[in-house]
Amino acid sequence: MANYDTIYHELHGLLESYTQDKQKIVPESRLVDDLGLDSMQTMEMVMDMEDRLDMAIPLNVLPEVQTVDELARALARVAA
Amino acid sequence: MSVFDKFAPIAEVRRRIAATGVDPLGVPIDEIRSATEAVVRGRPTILAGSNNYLGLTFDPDCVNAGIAALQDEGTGTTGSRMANGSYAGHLALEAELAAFYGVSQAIVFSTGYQANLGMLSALAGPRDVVMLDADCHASIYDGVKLGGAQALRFRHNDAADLDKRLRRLGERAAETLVVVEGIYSMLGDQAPLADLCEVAHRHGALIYVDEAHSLGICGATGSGVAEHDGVLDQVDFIVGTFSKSLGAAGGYCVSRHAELEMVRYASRPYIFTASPVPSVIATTRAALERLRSTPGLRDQLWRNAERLHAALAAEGFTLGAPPGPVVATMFDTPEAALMFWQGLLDNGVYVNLMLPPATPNGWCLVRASLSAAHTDAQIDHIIDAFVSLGQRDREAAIG
Repeated sequence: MANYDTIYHELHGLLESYTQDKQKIVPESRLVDDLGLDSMQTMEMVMDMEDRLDMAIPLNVLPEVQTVDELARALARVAA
Repeated sequence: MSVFDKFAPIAEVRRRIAATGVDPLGVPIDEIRSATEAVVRGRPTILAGSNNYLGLTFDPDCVNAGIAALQDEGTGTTGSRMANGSYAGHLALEAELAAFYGVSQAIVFSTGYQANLGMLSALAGPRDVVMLDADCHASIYDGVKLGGAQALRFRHNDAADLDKRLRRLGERAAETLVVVEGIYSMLGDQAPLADLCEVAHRHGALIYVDEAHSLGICGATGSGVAEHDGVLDQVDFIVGTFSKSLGAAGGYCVSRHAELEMVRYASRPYIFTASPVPSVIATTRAALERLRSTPGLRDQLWRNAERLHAALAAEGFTLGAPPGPVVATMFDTPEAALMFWQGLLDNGVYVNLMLPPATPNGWCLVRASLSAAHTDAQIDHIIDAFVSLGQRDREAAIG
């Protein structure tokens, strides 16, 4: 079962492929305002994370999160 | 902080669009002349982006049915289906839709959008799981959100991916509603419905198919992809709209499950809205009869679609799907698509423009939809407009 550190590491790697100009990604990075993800990209990223972690991640977690850290914590709660 | 602050990104996008001098949104139709012709910004224009697949909006049977209903039943019901809004025509249309699909149950909604909103919010609550094809229409996403179900996505038209994701759910797969479309609106590509049904049923899931862009298009009787793929008896719910092949506005759901009747009492988008206007019900019934009795309309639509598709493919355009009533050409940048769209309009051809973030995979699409009512001369004109603009762009790239 994936923990926060594993999830954050996978998420960080995935976000590097989604973000333009390879912005610096830190836990406080805001997915939309800092990393420039749109709604379609965010949903695509969730599907990719499902494959990386081999678990189901409901889209319902998305409205609760704004930052990379918040998303990693939400995914960790789903995984738990 | 104002409630309007959240519109700042939209306002910025609108400013950038305005700066180009090209606005593809809310194009004013000064005058509508036929199912395929209009006056747009003072110019006679062929409508090749209106989803009027069977061209029935000016069909005499449909128009006369509407006129008679206006005279006999007035301008509206002014009431919900739960109150005073169920006229004989509403009940008759539900019976006719059920008979058309060979099932026992049908519900009519006030719009196609509300059909998805109403069905999905009633069928799938917070304890349920919905597995959506990634490219599903906004009305499907909104309906799932309204109901509060656990929403998951699978890769577009990928039965193996659906299988993998349902397997991850374990026992919960049997509590899952798989939602797909028959023909997808953006590219016009068709779902591999037989494969998707097999996967869904193997996991004990139910399957829901939105045939908005496939009613009147395929299948022996024209009911859509489920019929075409021989899986009408395997699909649990079919949802559709009156606003494309049937030339009106409204929506429906049909099902072989008797429990569909209970959705009437659980669906807020069904209950808390005015029922469809009687004249719209009348024209829809007439259009359904034309669809059912005149397969030649479908044949003509496909002839038109295949002509345009073949001509654009021969000119080297990148097309989004095999031949079908939706012909979407793909461009590398939003700017290129925008200028091509305007070029078509300047040449008297209206089509749709679809840009990210509204499109999957960052596609920039110039999307045409064909009609059975397009004449050979109109198809020639559409082809000529695409070809001349394509040549212009190639010369500009070289120059």
